[in-house]
Amino acid sequence: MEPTLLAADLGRSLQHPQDYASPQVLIGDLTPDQATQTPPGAPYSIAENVAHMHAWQNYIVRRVRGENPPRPDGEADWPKVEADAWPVPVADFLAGIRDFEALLTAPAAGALLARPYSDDHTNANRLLNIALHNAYHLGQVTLLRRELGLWPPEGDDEAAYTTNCP
Amino acid sequence: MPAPLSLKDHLRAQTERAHRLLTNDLKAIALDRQNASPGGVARPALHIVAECAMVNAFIADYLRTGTAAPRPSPEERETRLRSFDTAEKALACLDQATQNLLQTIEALDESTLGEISDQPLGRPVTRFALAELPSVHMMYHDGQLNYLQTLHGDSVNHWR
Repeated sequence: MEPTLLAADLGRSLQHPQDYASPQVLIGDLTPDQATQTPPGAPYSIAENVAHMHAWQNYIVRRVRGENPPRPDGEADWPKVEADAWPVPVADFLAGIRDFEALLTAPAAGALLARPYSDDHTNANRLLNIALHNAYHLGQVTLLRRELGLWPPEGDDEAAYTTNCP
Repeated sequence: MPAPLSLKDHLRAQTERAHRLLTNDLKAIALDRQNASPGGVARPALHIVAECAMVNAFIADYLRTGTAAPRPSPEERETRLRSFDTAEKALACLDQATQNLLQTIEALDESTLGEISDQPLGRPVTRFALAELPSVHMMYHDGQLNYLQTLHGDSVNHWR
């Protein structure tokens, strides 16, 4: 399989997943109060899930770029997000997806099968793992939205994805 | 220098891992809560796992035969999901569908993974994207099972 085709699939799985609503649709219409509300029993708000996804997405994107960022451990792993700060993580996360996509355009796509670090992972493995990590937490965002009475999101088009699985 | 991980190796590893996590997490939910709908709005854990099984079977069938099985109507789908009323039934279906999927992945010709088809999803996608869909789908729902666990007061990681 050509790296460019793999890159196209990676990009699509981030921006336009095959089987659930896109990140933009899932978080783009939320007010700060909605995004930072934590239902009883829930460990994190939607905003904190988004900040967590961004922390790891940004870390991996920078690693694939050849940088050496600090691991997002401790508070950086699950940053607290107050309502007035919500525009920051949502903008950062969605911008991070665009940064991710920039890694998938030629000629960078040619580096997808490279193994620049000693842990035996290709850059494609790293990016695919981020797509999985995002899927995991976007599933939780969907449940949080349902619990908060915020389902379906504005602009949701179930026909645009496959399995209709909120 | 280690040999590059092939795309098929990646698909197999990702599918096996997502299947294992989903299985462990369903088993970790108390029996009397597996078929419950927290808050009346979340889907029961059994339905989530059963749907993953149905998607795995649908994708494996298409990759193997080149023909997409007819999609069930929403009513048929709900009836089918409700029929999985125990973890044994849901996990048996998930295990069988995932094994079929793994065998199908094993048999794929890696040189065909870039071929594009618009039949199963109604829009053009590569065979690689189709083969990857079940694992992403299972991870999406595993996040939901873990969330349901926390609502039930269980914050333990059951992945190992």
